Amino acid sequence: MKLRIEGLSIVKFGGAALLALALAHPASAAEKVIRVGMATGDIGKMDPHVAAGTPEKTLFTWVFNGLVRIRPGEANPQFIEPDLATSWEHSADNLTWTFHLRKGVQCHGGYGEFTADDAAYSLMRAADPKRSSFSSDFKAISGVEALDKYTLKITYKEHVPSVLGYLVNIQGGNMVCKKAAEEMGADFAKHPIGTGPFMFQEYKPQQEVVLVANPDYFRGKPKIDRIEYKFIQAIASRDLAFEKGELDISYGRSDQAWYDRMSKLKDASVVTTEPTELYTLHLNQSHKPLDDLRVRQAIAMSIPRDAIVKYRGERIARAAKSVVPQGYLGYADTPMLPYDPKKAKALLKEAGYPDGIKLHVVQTSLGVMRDTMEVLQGQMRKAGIDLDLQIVEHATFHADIRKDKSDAVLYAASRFPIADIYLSQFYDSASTVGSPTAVTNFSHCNVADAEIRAARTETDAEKQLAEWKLAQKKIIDNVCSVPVYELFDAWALSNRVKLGYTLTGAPGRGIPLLEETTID
Amino acid sequence: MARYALLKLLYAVPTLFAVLLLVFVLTRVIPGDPAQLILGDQATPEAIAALRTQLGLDKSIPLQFLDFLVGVLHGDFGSSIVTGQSVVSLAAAVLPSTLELTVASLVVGVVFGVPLGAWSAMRRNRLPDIAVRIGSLIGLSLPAFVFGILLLVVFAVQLGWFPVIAPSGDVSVFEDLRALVLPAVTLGILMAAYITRVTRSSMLQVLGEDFIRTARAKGVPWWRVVRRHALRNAIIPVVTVVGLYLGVLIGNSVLTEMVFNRPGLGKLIVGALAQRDYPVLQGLMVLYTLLIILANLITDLAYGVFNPRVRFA
Repeated sequence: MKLRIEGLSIVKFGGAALLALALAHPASAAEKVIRVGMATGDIGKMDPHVAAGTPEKTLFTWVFNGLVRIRPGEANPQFIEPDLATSWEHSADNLTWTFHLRKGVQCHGGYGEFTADDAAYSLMRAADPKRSSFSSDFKAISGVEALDKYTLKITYKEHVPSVLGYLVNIQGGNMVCKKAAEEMGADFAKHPIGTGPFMFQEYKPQQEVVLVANPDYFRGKPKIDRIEYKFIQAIASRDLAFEKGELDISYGRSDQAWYDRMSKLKDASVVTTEPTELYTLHLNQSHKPLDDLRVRQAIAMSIPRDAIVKYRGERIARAAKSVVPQGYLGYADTPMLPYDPKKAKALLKEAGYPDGIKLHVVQTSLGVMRDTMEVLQGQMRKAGIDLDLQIVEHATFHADIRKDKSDAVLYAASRFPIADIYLSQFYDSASTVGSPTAVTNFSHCNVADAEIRAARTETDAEKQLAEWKLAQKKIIDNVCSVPVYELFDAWALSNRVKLGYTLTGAPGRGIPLLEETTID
Repeated sequence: MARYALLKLLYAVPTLFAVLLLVFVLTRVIPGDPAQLILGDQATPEAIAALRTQLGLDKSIPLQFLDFLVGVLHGDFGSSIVTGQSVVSLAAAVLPSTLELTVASLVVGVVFGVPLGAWSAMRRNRLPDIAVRIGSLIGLSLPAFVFGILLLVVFAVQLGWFPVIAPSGDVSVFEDLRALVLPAVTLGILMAAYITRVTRSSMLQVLGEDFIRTARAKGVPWWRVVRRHALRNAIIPVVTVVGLYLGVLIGNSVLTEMVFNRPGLGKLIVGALAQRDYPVLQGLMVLYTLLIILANLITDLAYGVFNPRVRFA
């Protein structure tokens, strides 16, 4: 009896509190808002052709469209479908592509209809190294032309691995509105204008970006009215805010303890998404003793991939199976040397290092990168490989590894969706650090140049896959690097959020919030 | 007094210049390329070189410094090379929040620190004194990310009295103050610990003076002796500490700002340093130096309020 009264009073009290809340915020009942917490102190340039960080890319997912997109929730180029273009065809030699654009698509902020002119401008902008971080993705383009208001022609100098793969709604494939970008100039990065379901409304430094529903969105007006995209650097604060219901979606931390703790929360779920970041230990062959294949093989055999995955968390990480992350177009499962510290020691002895070797490694102080390196350090010691870690702050790390200052470089990267990007940037000798065309080839690897380059321009899909497969095998056999594990992005989502699709992947890193996404 | 204040501000000019020169050279000497950081690791060397030229980073350091000084003299502090927002607008956006937090934690510090310190001194080596001394030691050594999170778990998540993250946008003064309580306590506890210790030692010294004994001998009630004779004389060193720590608070608030997700100068500086955002760093250093000079000035003037013997010439 007593219990019943107590229960009743709680209900009454709760009801009264709810009523009070409703009275205090008359708008909150009607307005549907999704609050997203991101791991950053602030946001950088909000220009999709410039910014490459997860905080910015997440925002672009909501504001921009591509000519094509990967079906929401998937992170695999096999699911490419129409976005701003409704159909396309290409010439027999694959060098001329014609896209037919959707009619009546409106740019945000009254900048008019999105036409082939905008698409051409956007592509030229993304291909221009002065205005874009992703120009190398489009360097094979020789001309972009608006044939009429709704027809776009792109011509290529040479065959590219996947024309559509570069045109999906991530990075340089994001379509900006010409008039807005030209009129605003540098201010465009403070006020992005696209065609997507949500429009930029306001930026508050170190706090948030507010986005509102685009009423004219071509797939229909979004069901949610507003996104509050909050910058919360500290994971503990983000978790507490999520737990208390001040956030509906929160960017997590990729470790098992976090995963387990958040999984226990009521009315919430934890989701891990692809594309993953592949953690690879690049071995600098221009430094002794890493010029010796046996030494590199010994290193490969000193790393217990599965144990490290277990440490990181089996729901958060998976063992690397090649030098390209799984799920990319061109990825091939490539056998690697097994973990065998005894044999590693023997190999070192054979190479003339009976007492083992010592490597100088410049390492960033940034969380996951650093503790992965420390685990590797502990494991590799068992095989007589001593890592002398020089921990530096992140910006210094980036500067130093590009000056060949480190014997080995642990690097985490995602270069979705085509194997070519990964292979070209990390293993083509043209990308070697220190050279005028440097990107991120830290190992000075040059064994697969022929295959990587042949695959890039190969027109026959089968042959292209074979070239990529061979390239991966050659890189692994020569131990240019040791791929360790792939790390998923982890998110906590309130069960009140109904995405409107099944989430397994997020090509643009951020969780897509679409026209059908809603919140109870 | 106005002349004194003006003179103090004039003295600040060479200090400011020295600080700027130091920051300018140091930020550019440490490794790390802002252009690389902005464009990310896929950018071509060509794109990075183009951005460096656009940002004026290809010029020599003395020339960059000259450009900067000319800009400052024209009231132009430049724009963030990361976000493109003007430095003035960035600082203006977060300054109120920093001042609010600083003043609030100062209030917490004084309200708890002065009475506790005085009480502790009067009960020297007895239980209250020992408890206060241990308490202040804990206060000094508790990092914000531990104490702040603890407060959040108890008062925000369990009890639900306060929000975890500061509300943004147009909120009522009440909501704004509510969100200020936990951060102010987190930062204020450090201040309180310092003030307690200084008040205690200063009080102990004053309580041993002849005039206290005289006052007691005259038959002045004990609480009045403490309030009118002892505390009044003991407060000057406390004002000095408060003044010094005002500057430290403005800078030290970064952890509190992170835990409670408040915008602020500390976070802005740390973010700018990580991104090698030179214009923001430089602009903030000017502002920061000015704030500290201002804090010192206010401290100087406060001496006069507490002790009429202090004159400004």
